[in-house]
Amino acid sequence: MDERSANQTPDRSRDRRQTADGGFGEGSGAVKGIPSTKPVDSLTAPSLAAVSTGPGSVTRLFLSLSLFLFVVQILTGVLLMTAYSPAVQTAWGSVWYIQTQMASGWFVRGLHHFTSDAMIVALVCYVVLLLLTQEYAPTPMLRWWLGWLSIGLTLGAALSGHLLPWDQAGYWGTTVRLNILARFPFIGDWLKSGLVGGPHLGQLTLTRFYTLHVALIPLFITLTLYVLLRLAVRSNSTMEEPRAKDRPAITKERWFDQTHGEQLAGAMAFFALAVVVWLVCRWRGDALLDAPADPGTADFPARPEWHTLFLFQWLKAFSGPTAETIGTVLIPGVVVLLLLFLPLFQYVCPRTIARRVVMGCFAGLLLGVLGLTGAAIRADADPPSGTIKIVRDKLVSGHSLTSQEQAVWRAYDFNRRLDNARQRAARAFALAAEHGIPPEGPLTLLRNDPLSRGPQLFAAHCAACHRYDGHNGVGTVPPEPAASSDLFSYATRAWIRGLLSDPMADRYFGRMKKPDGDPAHTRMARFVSEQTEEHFEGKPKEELISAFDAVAAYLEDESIHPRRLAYLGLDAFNVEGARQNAPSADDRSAIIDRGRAFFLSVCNECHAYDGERTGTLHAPDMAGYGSVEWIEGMMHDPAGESRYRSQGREPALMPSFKDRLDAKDRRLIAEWLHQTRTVSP
Amino acid sequence: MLRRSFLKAVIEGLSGLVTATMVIPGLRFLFHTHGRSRKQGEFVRVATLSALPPGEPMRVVIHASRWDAFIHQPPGPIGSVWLVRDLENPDESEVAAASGRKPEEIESATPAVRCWQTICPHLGCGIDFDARRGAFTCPCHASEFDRSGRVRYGPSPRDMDELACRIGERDANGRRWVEVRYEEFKTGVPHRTALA
Repeated sequence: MDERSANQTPDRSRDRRQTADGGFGEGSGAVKGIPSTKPVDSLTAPSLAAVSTGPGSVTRLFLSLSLFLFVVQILTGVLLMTAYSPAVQTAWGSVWYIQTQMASGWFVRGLHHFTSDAMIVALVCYVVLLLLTQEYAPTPMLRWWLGWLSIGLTLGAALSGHLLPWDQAGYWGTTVRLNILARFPFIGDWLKSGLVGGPHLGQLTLTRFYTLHVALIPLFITLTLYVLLRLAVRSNSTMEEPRAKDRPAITKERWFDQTHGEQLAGAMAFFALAVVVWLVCRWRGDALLDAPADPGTADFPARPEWHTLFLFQWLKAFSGPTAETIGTVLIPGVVVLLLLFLPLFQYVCPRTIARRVVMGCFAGLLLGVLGLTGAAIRADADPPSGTIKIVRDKLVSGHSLTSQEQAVWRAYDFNRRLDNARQRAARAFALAAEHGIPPEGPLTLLRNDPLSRGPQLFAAHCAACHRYDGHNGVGTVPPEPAASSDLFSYATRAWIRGLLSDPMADRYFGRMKKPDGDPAHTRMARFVSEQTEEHFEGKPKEELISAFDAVAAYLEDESIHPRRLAYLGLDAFNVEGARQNAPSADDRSAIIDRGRAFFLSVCNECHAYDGERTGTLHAPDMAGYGSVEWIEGMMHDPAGESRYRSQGREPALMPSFKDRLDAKDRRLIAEWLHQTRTVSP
Repeated sequence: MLRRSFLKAVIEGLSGLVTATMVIPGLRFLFHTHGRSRKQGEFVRVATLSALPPGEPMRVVIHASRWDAFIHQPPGPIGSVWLVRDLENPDESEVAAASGRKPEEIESATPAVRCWQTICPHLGCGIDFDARRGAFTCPCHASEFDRSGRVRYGPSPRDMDELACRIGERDANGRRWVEVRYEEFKTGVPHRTALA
């Protein structure tokens, strides 16, 4: 890379040698000095110029790159500080505001996020090159240790910063990490208590992590990088030999010297990061912010960031308290000690063996980390649908699963939870844009939102019997079979029409128990089959089909506009005329009128309307059928007079939820079922 | 030589580009709120007409909800106004009804209620009413305004800022409400400009 002039200069009483291209020096070769065009500054005033006039060094390049990335972090960090709010009620909102509303906010935050990853990579490269080139002069181990300290501090900054948005990923990830920390012997509980600042993760945790992230850790990173830079200069100037007075100065200029090489590296890294930020924010805008932290959810699929995934995979192998202590504290402790004292091997063993041992250890560790990370990613990948079906069939039929099949089911469950979490995040973003964040915090937004809370409540309370499009509302198909109807698109024209064709299909009443005593749903099945036969004799079947279509249209209208036609009596409808002149499909209100007429003449015998029925048998009241109030009434009192009045002989098939769920939650479920339908245009 | 200096120039240029890519979005980020005008507020009920004594200015606090960056504050105090009910024509709608026209059509009549911002146009302090002297006064730098809000003396660059104000229809209890559209303006300038 560099042009060199082989200028033989006398040795300077140093044992360690380094060849100019950073190779692994052995023996006592002379240092290849480079004629510099600028004088070297004194040891007490290091500058990048002094660093860069020395021998070209890729090691130093990575150190200066890390420094540059750190400066980028400080600049973007200060900008973010002008808008971020470290309080539990406002943290998420402020980050949402930065990410989606502020001019170039997505760029500043995205850059801050990805530069931290890049800085860790640059520092690791630096440390690895230190090992490879044995640049330890003047002190053997200090630079190695300081390099690892800077990596640890940068990781600390990344982990503390992860909590600051107070979103689901940060909250649950930090919870797990702090619990792992608490396992450290003797000091674990103190560490956790100092960081958390109370019994639970809360306001004090946020402010302490904020202090760490913004003040303490950057201070120590600055000090560490400064010392590393000073040590780099000092080692540089010991390698730079001043020209002996009797030698002529050779002023050949390099076409690519250290300063410009470092500038180029910094610029390339920066533009690469900018491109990554742009791509990520365009492709998945919610990738950098999750839904607001909700301590009440127990199903968030927390995973560490990419740089600590290997630890996560590693810990899977250790279960049980003793094994966990071994896996969390003992073995990692040994590995850390090994890593820290790795370069000392060359003092212990002969050079050649030491070199192989050191390289071997390091390569082994690196491969282990990469392998564990790859295994973690593979274990979480979404399994193909064929495999999932096989495993689910096995579960449903009651067989026990092999460990591989269990892994498949876990991965399937994890990915459904991930989908659910992403949907929640998108919904939180939409609600925030529409309503803003209330002063109590963003959780109230989601807790009062039917589209977010409804499925959760449904999965927790209704999915024991009901289904929603085949699953439990949040995407998982329960292994137990359904015991009641599927409420997806409940009370739409298509749903009602399907019920009128075949009430005992699995989607409707087919899954329900059929106790003795002629319950309502078997009576409905009998009615439909009788109607079909009755009308089939002598009258065209198409008439019945179109009558059922009309009733479905009418009942759907009832769900959207409850009691809109209530004031009209039967004689207001030209029933016979409607039967003869089948209206065109476009004549929507005519179809609804005809449906109402059919309802009043046929269905009203059992199904009351506002308490009035023409016959004696009992079936649910159809006034306002399918509306939010009607669904709420069903949850409140399914065995009541206006629903499936149990005869007193058999227990109601659906229990009452008036005590199990409060009115607000019942309303949220009803609103969700009502709003997520696709009604006919 | 040319190749070396060209390469060095290119790299220096790249470094400049890096700086620009950091500085320009950074400045946009910092000055995000500058120049963004809020949309005009709604008319808000502030007081019943009968509560206003004719001829005497009365200070009323405005309650409304407000956006604070990302926080949507529930209705709370956001400012205050001075209301004066006209002495001669305390109820313009009665005058209009008597002459068979709508209140807006009566050009010559003074509006029955007038409304001014309490924020002093000089430097933003709250304006008081001195009943003894019959004038609005600002306690900070002693600007004085007459009963119609016109500046008499003092450092204020313009008159008191008058706000859009109307009398609404009778509500369910038969009361008539005064409705004000609350706005804030830039201080220290002679022409009234809405605060962006």
